[in-house]
Amino acid sequence: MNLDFSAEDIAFRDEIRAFLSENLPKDIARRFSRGYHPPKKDLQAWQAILHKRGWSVPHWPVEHGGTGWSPIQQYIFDDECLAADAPPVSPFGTRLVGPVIYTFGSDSQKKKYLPAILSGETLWCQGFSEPGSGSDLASLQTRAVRDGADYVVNGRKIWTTDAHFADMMFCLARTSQGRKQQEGISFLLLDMKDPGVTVRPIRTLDAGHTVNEVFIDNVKVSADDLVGQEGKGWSYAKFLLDNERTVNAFVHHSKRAYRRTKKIAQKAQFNGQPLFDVSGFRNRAARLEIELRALEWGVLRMLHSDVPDPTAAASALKLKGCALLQNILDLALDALGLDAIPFYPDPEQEAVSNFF
Amino acid sequence: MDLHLNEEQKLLKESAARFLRDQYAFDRRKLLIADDAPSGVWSKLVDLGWLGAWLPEEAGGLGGSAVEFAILMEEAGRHLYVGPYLSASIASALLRNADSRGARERLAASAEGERHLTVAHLEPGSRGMMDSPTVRGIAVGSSYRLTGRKRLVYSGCFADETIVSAVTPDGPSFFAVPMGGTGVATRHYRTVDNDWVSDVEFDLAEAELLVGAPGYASALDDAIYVALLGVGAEAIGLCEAVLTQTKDYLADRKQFGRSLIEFQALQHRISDLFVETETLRWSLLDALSQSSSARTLRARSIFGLKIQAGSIATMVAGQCLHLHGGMGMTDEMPVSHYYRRARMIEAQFGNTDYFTAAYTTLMD
Repeated sequence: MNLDFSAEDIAFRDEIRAFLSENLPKDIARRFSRGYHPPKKDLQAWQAILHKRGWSVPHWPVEHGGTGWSPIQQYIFDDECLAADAPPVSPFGTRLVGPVIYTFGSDSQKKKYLPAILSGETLWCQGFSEPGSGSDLASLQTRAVRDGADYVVNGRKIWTTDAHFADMMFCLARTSQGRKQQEGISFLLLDMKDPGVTVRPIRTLDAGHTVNEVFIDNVKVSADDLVGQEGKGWSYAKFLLDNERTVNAFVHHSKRAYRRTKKIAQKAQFNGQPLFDVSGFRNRAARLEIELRALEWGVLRMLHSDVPDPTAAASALKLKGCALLQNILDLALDALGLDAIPFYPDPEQEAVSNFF
Repeated sequence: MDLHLNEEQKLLKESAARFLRDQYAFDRRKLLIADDAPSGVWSKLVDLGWLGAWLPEEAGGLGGSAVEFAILMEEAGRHLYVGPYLSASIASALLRNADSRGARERLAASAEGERHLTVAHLEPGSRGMMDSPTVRGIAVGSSYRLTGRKRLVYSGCFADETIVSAVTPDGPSFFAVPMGGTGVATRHYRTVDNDWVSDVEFDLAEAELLVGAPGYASALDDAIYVALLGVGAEAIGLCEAVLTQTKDYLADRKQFGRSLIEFQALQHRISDLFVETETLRWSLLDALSQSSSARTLRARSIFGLKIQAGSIATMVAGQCLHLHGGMGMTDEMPVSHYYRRARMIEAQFGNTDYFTAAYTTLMD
């Protein structure tokens, strides 16, 4: 067992830091640092910069445009990017549908879609959930009926992140009724510019606009845009969801949020001393810091050893990771005190608090 | 970075697991813990090389590291081992970087099983291992005389010698004192989790200086690291074992015409306990990764492990106890023993409040 970062890893981290300080546009970083969902122009501008350097999809196989980095190098890269307030590259093309296309797609699909996913010119959204099909996803009702060289798709998707600016959707639709509900689902690549697509925004509790409802009304999808075999879409969807065992731990987000919380608490005054030095606050921070250290090793363990039950271990990372991020952000709100109250609807607005 | 166990480490883990399964099954353990002294499986543990497994070769060990120690303690926790192994290991940790001849000789003799050592550090009124000793030591010729009281000396009824912390005019130091010597009065008793401990009163007891004042702080740091790593790894084995046994129990026990494990409310509780146990393993990796780091870095990670181990083991074993229903309250069921051990891990060497307070002094 060797638990050290190697000298090469440290040198690699320095290289990433240098790249970020030279190439990450200040305005993009500032907007992202304020916690708003990144606008399309920021996502595309930043991915274009990464693409130029060959770093837009480090985790892909080299023959498809990946970097050949080790898992630990990818981890360091993600950590440094987020620490520098770089908006994470949109995951729908790069992390979700891209690997499905290069694993199960036809040669023409690879040629047609992968280059624009790499460069970020085409942004994607995921058409999985429906109003009646959430955790029981396989009960989905959207239908695709074969009509000559096309499928005609009808249905409704919900919680569709980025649908309001995505160019393409990867969509699960029922092409037949199977014995089990998982059978007869197909994986289609659907053009969001089709006139039959209507996107309705869903305003969320942060007053932001990230997710949408998508109405699909007689949308034609060429049979060339069916991925893999008709009726086997469920297995591709499972592949896609299984592909990422550590992303949902949000460890880089939590590390960044904790650093910011600490800065706020060091600046905030409480009875004439920094809030961070008040023992009640400091005890809470200590417990979260300890859980954060643990979470980081949970992710490294997943990347670097044969975990006995990877699916259960990935669930543990997801559950613990999300709870920890929420607890850290709660601590941040408590550190802000009254400064947690003002609302900032505009990412470009001057802050009225001295904490931002 | 590579978090796989190497071949030797895998063999060590397998041999420890096999040994404890065969020799320390719950029924046999029952007989062993009824003894007056923890001699039960001791000589076999020594023969298997447990004492030297994690010590460098120059200290009479087999060239292993903290990882080997954690492997053994995890298996010990799985089988609810109680006895001298942890206290003897803490004694080794105290001595391993000392440059006195007495320390080197004892380290080798301990690893060989020729001399059994324990540690007398906590005192009436102390809350944890970082508290300063009040036992006094005065130089008499080339040796010392110690006066004062120590408590919770693990395996005190079994040890040949104890390593004692005491204050001299030069500062705090560690000494060796023979357990049966003149001026050493002992009172032996048992712990809530069936271990053997002693209170020891020194009245001008003759003592040999092993670690002088200049080396005291770093020897104590080493001892704290090994003590907390030990219970941290032990807690993981404990949590995994008690969770497995509880799942089996729920699968067996039928109420309302079906197995209890079929109730989703209970499945969710089991899942939550699995998640907590996973996080404890993450903390262990964190602590192992800092085994040779600078003082503050190592202390933060090992305090973190202790805090997680105490609170998570207590929670997991406590929930498992509850999931057993009334049967969990009986001495007959292993779960009640797991719970008692878990609760003592929380208290041992200083509890969560104690180490959280210590951790906060080390935050940037």
